[in-house]
Amino acid sequence: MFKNFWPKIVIALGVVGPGLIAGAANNDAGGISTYAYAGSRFGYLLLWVLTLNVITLFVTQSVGARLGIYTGKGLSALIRENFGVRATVLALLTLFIANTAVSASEMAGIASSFEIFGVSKFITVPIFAVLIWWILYKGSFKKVERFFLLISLFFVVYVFAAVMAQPDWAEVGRALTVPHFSFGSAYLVAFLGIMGTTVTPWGQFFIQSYIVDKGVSPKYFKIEKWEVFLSAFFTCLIAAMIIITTKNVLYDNGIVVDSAKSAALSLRPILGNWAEFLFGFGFFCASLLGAFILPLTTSYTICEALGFEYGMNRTWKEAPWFYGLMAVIIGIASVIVLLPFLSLFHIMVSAQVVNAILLPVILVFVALLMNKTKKLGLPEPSKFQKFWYNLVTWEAVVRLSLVSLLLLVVSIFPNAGDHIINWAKDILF
Amino acid sequence: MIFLFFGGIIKLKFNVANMMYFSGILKSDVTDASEKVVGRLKDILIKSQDGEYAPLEFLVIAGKGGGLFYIPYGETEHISKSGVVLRRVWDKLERVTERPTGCLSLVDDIYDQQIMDINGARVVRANDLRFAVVDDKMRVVGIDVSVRGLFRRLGLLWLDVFHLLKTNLIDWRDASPVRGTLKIGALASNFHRLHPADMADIIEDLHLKRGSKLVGYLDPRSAAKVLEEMDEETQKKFLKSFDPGRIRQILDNMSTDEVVDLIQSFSKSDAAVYLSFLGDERHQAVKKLLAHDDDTAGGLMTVDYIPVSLDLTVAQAMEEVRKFSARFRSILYIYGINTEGVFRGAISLRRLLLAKPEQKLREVIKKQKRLPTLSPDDNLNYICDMMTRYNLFSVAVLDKDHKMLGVVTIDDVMRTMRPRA
Repeated sequence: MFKNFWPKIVIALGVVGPGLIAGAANNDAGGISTYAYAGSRFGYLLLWVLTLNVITLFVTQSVGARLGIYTGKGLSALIRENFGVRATVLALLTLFIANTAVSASEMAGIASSFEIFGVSKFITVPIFAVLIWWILYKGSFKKVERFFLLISLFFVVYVFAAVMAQPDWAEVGRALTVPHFSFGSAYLVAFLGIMGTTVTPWGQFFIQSYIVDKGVSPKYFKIEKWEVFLSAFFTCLIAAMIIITTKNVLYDNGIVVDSAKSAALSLRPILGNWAEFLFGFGFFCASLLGAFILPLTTSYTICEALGFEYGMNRTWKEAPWFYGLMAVIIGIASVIVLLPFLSLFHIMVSAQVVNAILLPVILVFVALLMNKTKKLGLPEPSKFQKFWYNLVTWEAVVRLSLVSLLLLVVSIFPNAGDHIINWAKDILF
Repeated sequence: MIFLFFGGIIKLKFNVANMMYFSGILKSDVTDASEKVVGRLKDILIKSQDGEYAPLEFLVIAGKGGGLFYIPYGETEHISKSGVVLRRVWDKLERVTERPTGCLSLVDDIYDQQIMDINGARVVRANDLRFAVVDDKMRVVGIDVSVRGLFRRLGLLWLDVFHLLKTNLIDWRDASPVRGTLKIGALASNFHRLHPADMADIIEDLHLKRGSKLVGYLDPRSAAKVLEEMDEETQKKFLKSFDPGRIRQILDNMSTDEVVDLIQSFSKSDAAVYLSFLGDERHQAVKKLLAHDDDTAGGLMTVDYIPVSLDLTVAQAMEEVRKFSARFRSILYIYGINTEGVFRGAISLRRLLLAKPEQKLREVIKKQKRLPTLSPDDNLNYICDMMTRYNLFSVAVLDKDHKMLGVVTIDDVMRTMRPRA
């Protein structure tokens, strides 16, 4: 009976490891800020969104993994080959805007981690913009990647912080399962932010090219699915822990997070005087990692779909678009962060909202592609699977579009929420 | 540069007035001889043959009343931006409703697909296709891979007021679609013309699945050479995607020190698996090399060298070189050893060429006492200093009993300095 036990444990650990790391790394500076904001402003009211997110993230990512494993192609290549140039340009433009927004959020993360220690963004942003581009250009990024990835595991500390805060777990359980909705624009922003930072356009492109690069063979699809599931689970677990911590430490004391500095406060009970320093350092590493990866993968995706030369082994002359696009993304992101009238914290949260608003475009492509089983050479899924994949993906598309629309309406007509409620009451009662 | 060059050729050879782009005619109306619109152009089928511009064979027309029709290209009177005009009335046309076999579809197999550009040694995407009349037939002559092609597809060319965008055409004959029904054999025969380093670049661009398919169609020796040009991570991924028989063939054809580097990068259990793929003799040699540190003479050296007895004549030694030359990456010297394997001297190929065929090696070889040699523990710095000081291209590595272990060549040293190149 125990004969097969150890090999299974080893395989399990091999899957849990990368899943945990991916899960932790998914929560970049923008994510942490958004969750901290949501928790300190609305307490547990947004926890239920995370429950939905685990499912959405797991399903969309495993569809991406499936497409990658069976076609051996990236998402942008599939869109180009199946829907033509116009659709491709639409998808790439969406990705470009969303990823530039996230890059800006990462830059803001770098700047705000230094602001904790009183260094102005006007000094840090230009320096890091040049440094990041230079390292990307020189191709020496791979060497430092793992280091930053490990440091960003720091935010697992929130799991302990949440336990230490001794929350009422029954209440947490209720908040995770019972939906709550409100029409206030701040609530809608936080709602979209939480969605946009967990399920992202770039994550959808990333998972597919990650699988393609790794060269996973179809017979390992089951294992890969577990990895995807665990990474989705850990992403949302850490998110939930951040919300639980900030609710108990900050919300209950009437503090609303509006900067990295006040977000760091939530770790005071567990880390004491070290909280600001450690939080700042973890925040910095997580942001820097994202600040490298986003321009790189965006440029890579665009060049692959449009047929420009790409790859780190090319020179500037051989692949001008590849390096040029990276420079443009870093440039725009830096300029946004340096705008004097925008607070760093606002940039971080708004970037996630932009992601959420744009995500449906990408998800629609994913949904259309996953139903083209014959043309793409995918194995025919069972009826239940097909139904389930479609249900979850389209639900996310509808949910995101509706809430985005609602946010638009509410920001133009602040009282629209009340009208909708009254109107609903009239009809129902 | 290459493309400007081809642009030049195309302009010289073809009548410019006869040229058009696929994007211009796709989805345009099809009119028959009675000037009635009968449908829209949905696709074009071509026959592709190595080394010639592919003639258009069938027009695929979506009929007005529904249904797909395949009309032989010979039925067209006129084809241009303003649409397709057929020679006869619709009812009298020879039209097929079954898809003709042996043809490539421009829409499914070429348009928007990745294309290997053999001359540029890169992978690009077909943004548009250019047609022209060659030898009295309308043919595909070029693949537009430029941004201008993209803008044309999007109908945005008017944005380019200052004509900043240039057309970038790849000669059809130099391109092979990566996917599609095109015979892989023909594809690989073109591919073969490239330098292994360029092949490796293309294959890495293609991602694992299609890349490994392409490697699969190369003969084992070229496949091994291409693999040697990749970095270790990529090598590993590709090797893992092959079946055991193929792995064995490729490992057999790789040089011993490349195999050593590769096996060093594997985990212990994987390394054991890959070691077991090697033949007995190879296995022993690799195991010996594995015992040494990476940046010492022992770790850097290769065991692919030619040892000979000093009693051979020059002609016999040349025969040895002929025998080994196919298997070794480089041969600069041959090395004299006695029956116990003790190093006795070395002779360069140049000296060997200049010597008289009947002379004994003993008379022409540079004697061991006058040659600098290495011991396996010498470090990289020492090796570099010595090779620079004595202007050496390769140095023999000896153990403490002066038995010859291997050779460090200048190539091995260079590789440690520029690992990514």
